[in-house]
Amino acid sequence: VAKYLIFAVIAIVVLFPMYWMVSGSFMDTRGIMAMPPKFIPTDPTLDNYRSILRTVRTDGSLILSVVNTVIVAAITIGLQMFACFTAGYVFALYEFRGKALLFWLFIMAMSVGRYQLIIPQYVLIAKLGLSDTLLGAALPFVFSPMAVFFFRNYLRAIPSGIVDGARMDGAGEMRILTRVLMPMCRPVFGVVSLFCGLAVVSDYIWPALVLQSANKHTVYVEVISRMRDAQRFITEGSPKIGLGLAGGTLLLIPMVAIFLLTSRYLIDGINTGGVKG
Amino acid sequence: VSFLAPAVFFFVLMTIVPVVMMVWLSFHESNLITTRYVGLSNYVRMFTDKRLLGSLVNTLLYTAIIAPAITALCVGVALVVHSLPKHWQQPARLVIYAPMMTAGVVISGAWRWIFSPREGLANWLLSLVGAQPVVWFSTRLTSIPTISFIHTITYVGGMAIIVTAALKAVGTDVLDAAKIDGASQGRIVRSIYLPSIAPTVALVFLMASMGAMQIFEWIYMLAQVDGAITVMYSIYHEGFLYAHQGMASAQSVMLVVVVGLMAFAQRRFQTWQSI
Repeated sequence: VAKYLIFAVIAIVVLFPMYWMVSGSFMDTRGIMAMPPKFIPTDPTLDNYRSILRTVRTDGSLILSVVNTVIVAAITIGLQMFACFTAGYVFALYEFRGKALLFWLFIMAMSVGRYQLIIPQYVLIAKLGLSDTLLGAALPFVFSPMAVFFFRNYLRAIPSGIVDGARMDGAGEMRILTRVLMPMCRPVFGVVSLFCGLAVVSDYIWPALVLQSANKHTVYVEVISRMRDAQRFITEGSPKIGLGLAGGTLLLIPMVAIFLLTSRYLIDGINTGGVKG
Repeated sequence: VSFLAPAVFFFVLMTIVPVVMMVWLSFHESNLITTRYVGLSNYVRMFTDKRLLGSLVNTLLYTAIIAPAITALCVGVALVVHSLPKHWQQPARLVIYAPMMTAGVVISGAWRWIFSPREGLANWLLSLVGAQPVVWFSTRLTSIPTISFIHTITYVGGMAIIVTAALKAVGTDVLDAAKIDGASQGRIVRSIYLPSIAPTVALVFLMASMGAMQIFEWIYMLAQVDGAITVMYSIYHEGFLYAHQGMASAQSVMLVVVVGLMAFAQRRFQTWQSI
């Protein structure tokens, strides 16, 4: 019994911030500022959400930011699928000079954190004239060594007889790639594009730097910069804290939904990714 | 082999070229418009300027707190999850992994409220024991433990999942033999589980250190004060707010080298034939 209790405590601690944000989003400022704090909203209100809805109705920028996010994600996913699938194919089925070196470089690239190269990447995007373009917001996410390895592993597990058979039937390289192997890799395309989409959608810093014009903002840039504005007044007891929490909750919902739908793959991915590499 | 071209193109464009630019910029003073060669002075300033040195000290402090904390806690959490009945384990993993989904900018709204200077939950808890309210994100003394706490809570579950996988791999025959010999639960943990997951624990320790060294979003969202800023935040600040891109690049070079060395050590722990 003790172990259930201990686990319950762990679960409450790690999930608490999420709960706190959701519960706060249903309170008015007095409820949020109440001392002692209210652990359950006593008179729940939808005012925060109503006010966000009003903003969506009157101000097109939130809807525009959804469109922008979809475009950036589509560019990134499209380019990443193309580049990483073809690379995984070569790594899985061909031997060539420099293969080991390139493989090692890709592995080392995996250890470079998301923001470590942010300064030169920004300078480069500026020099290429891609500042303030959606393509510029997408580019750093396109190449993913992880995706190359996913495709490579999956393609390596395909019996060579299938490829040889297709070749015997007179299918060219291109045909084998698009008609035989691509359909077989469908689950990998799914998982990789999901990971890629999540990374792109939930990033804030990079798109906030690159996309300066308001009409190019992604959802995170739009919502979080509003949240930051609203929360800056938290010490003065501004009535906008609840707005920030409601905005955060709205960003949370799609993430949690995707997480629950795909958790099986995610956890398997961590297991193999963490232990075997 | 020509199918490799697209991947190599994007790899070179967004990784190799930036790395080269970063090294080059680190010996220059640059603000996107003018660039001037300054030799090693950026590297010297990194260790002499009070603010920059402070960010380095802070980063080391975060790492010194977070890496042991996450490692110890995640082993504990993993042992608890592992001891649950089989059909409970998968949902339990989901629960502890969930905070990773919300890492960073979104959830910091809740943290900011919890650690708000006056009406937050943290100060309410303090008032229960009669202590004065604390302005959490102000000095090094309070902000570093607070951010470390937030970071640990967020990432401990993800790390614990890696450890549960290692626990699963412990052979049942050894466990059965120990039980037949009448070994206590504590003894089994100490003499069988801990030794056999030691490599994974080392791996988790390295990963937690690497994560701690790159803390950025918490600072950006919660505590842009000198007592809390990290090297990664300092890079952002120097590069984009002061337009000292040379200085920021020198700091990036240092971070990439340090984290790269740790990643290299991490790879040596792992068996690569599986990928």
